[in-house]
Amino acid sequence: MLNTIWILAEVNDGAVASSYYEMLTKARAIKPEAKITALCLGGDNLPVDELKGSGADEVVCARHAKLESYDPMYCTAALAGVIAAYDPDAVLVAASAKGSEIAPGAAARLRTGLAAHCTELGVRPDGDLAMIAPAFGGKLMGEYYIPNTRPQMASVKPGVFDRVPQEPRGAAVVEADVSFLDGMSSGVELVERKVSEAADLPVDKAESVVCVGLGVAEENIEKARALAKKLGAALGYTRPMVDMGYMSDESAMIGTSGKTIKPKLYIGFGISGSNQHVCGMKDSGLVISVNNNPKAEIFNVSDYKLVADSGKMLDELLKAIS
Amino acid sequence: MWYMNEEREQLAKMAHDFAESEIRPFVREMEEHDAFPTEIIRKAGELGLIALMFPEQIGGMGPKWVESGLMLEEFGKVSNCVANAFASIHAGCALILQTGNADLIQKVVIPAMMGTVVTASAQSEPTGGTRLDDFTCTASVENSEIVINGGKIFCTNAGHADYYTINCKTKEPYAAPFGNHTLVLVEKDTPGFKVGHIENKIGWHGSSTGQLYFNNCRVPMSNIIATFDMDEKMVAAGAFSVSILMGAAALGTAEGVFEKALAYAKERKHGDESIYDKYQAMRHRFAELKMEIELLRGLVYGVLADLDNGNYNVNIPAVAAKVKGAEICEHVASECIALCGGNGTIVENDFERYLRDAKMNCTAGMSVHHLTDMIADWLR
Amino acid sequence: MKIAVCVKVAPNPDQYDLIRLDPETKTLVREGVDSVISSTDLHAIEAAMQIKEKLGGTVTLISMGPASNDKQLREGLSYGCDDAVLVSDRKLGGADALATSYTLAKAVEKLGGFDLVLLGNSSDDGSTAHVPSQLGEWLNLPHITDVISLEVSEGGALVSKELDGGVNTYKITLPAVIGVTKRVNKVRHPSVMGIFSAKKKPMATLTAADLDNLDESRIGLAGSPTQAEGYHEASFGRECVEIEGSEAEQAAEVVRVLNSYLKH
Repeated sequence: MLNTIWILAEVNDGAVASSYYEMLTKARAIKPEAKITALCLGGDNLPVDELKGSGADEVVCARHAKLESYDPMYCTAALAGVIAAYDPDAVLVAASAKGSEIAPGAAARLRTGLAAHCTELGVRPDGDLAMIAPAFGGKLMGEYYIPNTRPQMASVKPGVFDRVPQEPRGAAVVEADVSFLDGMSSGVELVERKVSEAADLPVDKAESVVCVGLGVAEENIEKARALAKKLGAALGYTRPMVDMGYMSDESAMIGTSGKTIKPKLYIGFGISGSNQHVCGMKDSGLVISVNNNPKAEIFNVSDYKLVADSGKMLDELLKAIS
Repeated sequence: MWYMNEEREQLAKMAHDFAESEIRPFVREMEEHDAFPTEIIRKAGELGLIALMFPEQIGGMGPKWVESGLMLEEFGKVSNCVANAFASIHAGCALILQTGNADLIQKVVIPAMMGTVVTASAQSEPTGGTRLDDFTCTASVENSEIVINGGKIFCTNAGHADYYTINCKTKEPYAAPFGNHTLVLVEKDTPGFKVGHIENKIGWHGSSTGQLYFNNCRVPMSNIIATFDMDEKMVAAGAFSVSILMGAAALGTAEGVFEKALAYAKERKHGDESIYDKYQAMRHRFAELKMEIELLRGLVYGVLADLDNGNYNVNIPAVAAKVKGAEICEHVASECIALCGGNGTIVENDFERYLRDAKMNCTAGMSVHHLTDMIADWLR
Repeated sequence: MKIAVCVKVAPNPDQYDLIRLDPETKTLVREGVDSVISSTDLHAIEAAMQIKEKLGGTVTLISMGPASNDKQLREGLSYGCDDAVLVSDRKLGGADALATSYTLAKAVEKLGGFDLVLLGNSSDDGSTAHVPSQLGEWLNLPHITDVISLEVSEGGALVSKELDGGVNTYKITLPAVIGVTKRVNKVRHPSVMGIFSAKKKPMATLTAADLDNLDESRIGLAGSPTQAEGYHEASFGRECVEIEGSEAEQAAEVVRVLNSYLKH
C-alpha cells in the first residue's frame, strides 16, 4: 500500500532543502493519488508557508525547543514519535548528513525497514514501494522492498531526482505533539560549531579531483581552480602542463610519473588521455571528461563525455554550481 | 603455497602494507637524494619486523626464517635496496651473536633489532679485496687498548652506521688468546676513525657504500667481538644466512617488476586489445619469466623452511639462492623493460630502478663469482 | 575503559571486479573474492586502541557472521585488541541492518559492562550506515555517527562531525555508541608481536541460543523488515554516456550527475 507518503523536509538556513522538492516530485510521479505530507522538525521558525505552497497535501510541524539546533537523539525521537502517531504507509528522508543519521534510528524505534541511499523509487505490482539502491561501491544495484512492517522507509540521495514545480494543494497545517521530548535527555550536547574553510587538499587524498590538460588554455586554469574550490575538490594536472610551465611543480601531477589517484569523482578538462595519465586515474569513481575532440582517448575511460570547449564549459559549470 | 599458514599470511599482508605505505613513498627520495631509510628501519623495528631475524634468547622472535623471508620478499617487491638494508642488519649483528659477547649484544644487537641503531660491517680492502691474507688494516694491543690502522672499502651503511664491525689482521707479534684476525667494534665518531668517499653506485641509492679510514684509532678491549685464526672456510661457513636473506629479497624484486610489467601489458592497448592479449610472443615471454620466479621461490623457501626445521646443512642451496636470485632478478627486470617498450625505458616509470638495484645483487654481500667458487669448492 | 568494537567482515573492495551476478539465478557470485574486515571498521579498532593506550582498559571485537570469519577476527586482534566474540548461527543469516543491529545489541548486552561501543560508520559492501544509530537505539544509549574526530576521557567523549558546511563538536555522555569515519585516525600496522599473540587471545563464539531474551522474530532473514528482491548490474562502468546540448544544458546535466553521485 502506498496511500499516504510522508516526506521529511530538511531546513537549511530557514529554507526548505532542494531534496524535499525532489522527493515530492518523485512521490507524486509514482503515485499521483497518494496523500503526501511534508514533515518539518524544528523550533518556532519553520518555513510553513513555503511548505504549504510546495504541492504537498498536508504539512505537519513538530516544534520543540530541543529541536532548535540539531541533536541526533532528539531528532530521531521526534521523527519516530510523530510517524508512529500518524502511521503513514511510507516515509522518505533525504540521505543527507542529518537524514542519514536520524532515519536509521527512527526505523529502529519503529521496528520497520529502511532502504539506504536510494537512487530510484517505484510502485511494486502489489502496490508497495519499490526501492533501488547501490551496493558494492556502486558495482551492483539492489532492488529492495519492505513487505511486512510500516512505514516503508527510504533514504534518497539528494540530487538524483528531478525537481519539478508542483501545483499548491491548499495544504492543511497540523501541529504534531512532541511533548514526549520534554522529559527526554539525549546525552548529546553541542559544544562548538566551526564554519569550515576548505584547505588545499593533497591531490591523492582528495575525494574529488578537477584535472586539467593541455586543452585548457592558460587563462582558464584559474577557472578550473575556482571550480575545484566550489566542489571541495583538489586541482590536478597532466605532465605536459608542467612541461609547458603552466604548473610550477609536480605535486599534483597525475600519471605514472606523478601521483596515482582514486577519488570518488574525477572531472577532466582538455585531457587527451595519454596512457601515462590514464594509468594514474583509471581507478577513479565517477569520471566526467570534457574535450573538444569527440575521439579523445580519455573518453574511453570516462563515464560521461562532453564534447565542448573546456573554457566555456568551465564558465557554465561555475555558474551552474551554487 | 606449501609454506604458508594463517599467521604467515597475516604477516606477509602486514609486511606488504608496510612496504606500500612506508617504503614506496620514500623510493623517490632515495633515488634522487641518496636518502638513507633510517625512519623506515626505526618503524620496522618498532613493529617487531627486524626481530623476526633474531633469536628469542635476546628478545627476538625466532629466528623465524620463513617469516623473515616473507618480510624481505614483500619489501623487495617495492625496493630491493631497502630489503637488503634489513638483510644487512642481520649480517651486521651475526658475528656478535655468534661470539655471544653479552655486553656487545646489549649495546649493539638489541638496539639494532629495535631499529634504533644502524650497524655496518667492513671486510673488503683497496688492495686484495676480500682475500683475508692480504688484509692490511691491522689491530694491535697497546696499553690495554686496541689500536686500528688502515682502511676498508665498500662498507655498506658507511656514514649512517652507529657501530662498525671491522675485520682486522692482528698485528704481529701477538700472543694467545689472539688469533691472526681480530674483529673489532668501532663506534662512529671515535677519534682516529673517519668515513671517506661515499660511492655513487649503479643502484641501491638508499644505501651508502663508502671508504673507512683508521689512523691510530683506539677502542677499548671490550670492543673485541672475536679474535681467532681465520681462514676462507670460516667466511664461507657464515655465508648461508645473508645469502638466503638476499635471495628472498631478490625473489621479491623479480616479482615486483614482473607484476608491474604484466599490469602494464594488460593495460596497454594496440587497437582494441591489450598487447598482452594480442601478442602470443609477449604472453610466452611473461610465462617464461614467471617460471623462473617460481623456481626461485621454491629454492628460497625450501632453504628457509629447512632452517626453521633446524637443518643448517644448507650451504649450497642457500648460496645458490643468492646467486640465482641475483641472476633471475636481473634477467626479469631487464626483460620487463623490453616488454614495456618505450615506457619501460623511462626513469619515472620506475622499471629501470629494479634493473639497477638487481645489478647490485651480483656484487654486494659477496660477489656471485666468489660464491660460485665457494660452491665449486664444496663440490671437491 | 571497557570498549567494544563491532566489525563487519565483507568482500574485499579491491576485488569487486570479480563479483558478478549469476545470469540465471540473479544471485551474487563471490567466487575468488577474499573477505576482509570492512575498511572503516579498522579505523574504529584504531580509535579503540588509542583510547586503551591513553586510559587503560580492554578492547573487545564483536562480529556477526559465519564461523569462517574467525580468521579476520584474528587479524583484528593483531592490532592489539584483547578478545573477540563471533556471533554465529545459521538463524542469523541474511540479516538486514535492523536485524544485524538487534543481534549485535543482544551480544553487547550479553557481554555487558561496556563504556563505549565503536564501529565504522558504514561497511564497504552495503554502505547503508544504518547499524551505528540503530545499535544505539536498541541499546538505548546516546549515539552519534559520521564522526571525524574523537577524544575520550573518563567523563565522556568529545566528537566532531561535518554538518551544513561546518564542523559541529558534541559532548556525549558514556556509555555511548559512536560511528567513526576514516578521517578519525590513521590505522597503524599490526605489530609482529600482535600477529603472533593473536592466536593465543580468547575468541568466543555465541550462537542465537546464547543471547539472552532474544526475540527470534527479529533476527536473520525472516526478522529483516527490508528485503532484497534481487540485484542487477549497475551501469557505473565506463559507458561513456555523451552529455549533449548547449553548454548551459550540458552544465546543468553535469550538476545533476554530480549531485546524484556525490551525496553519499
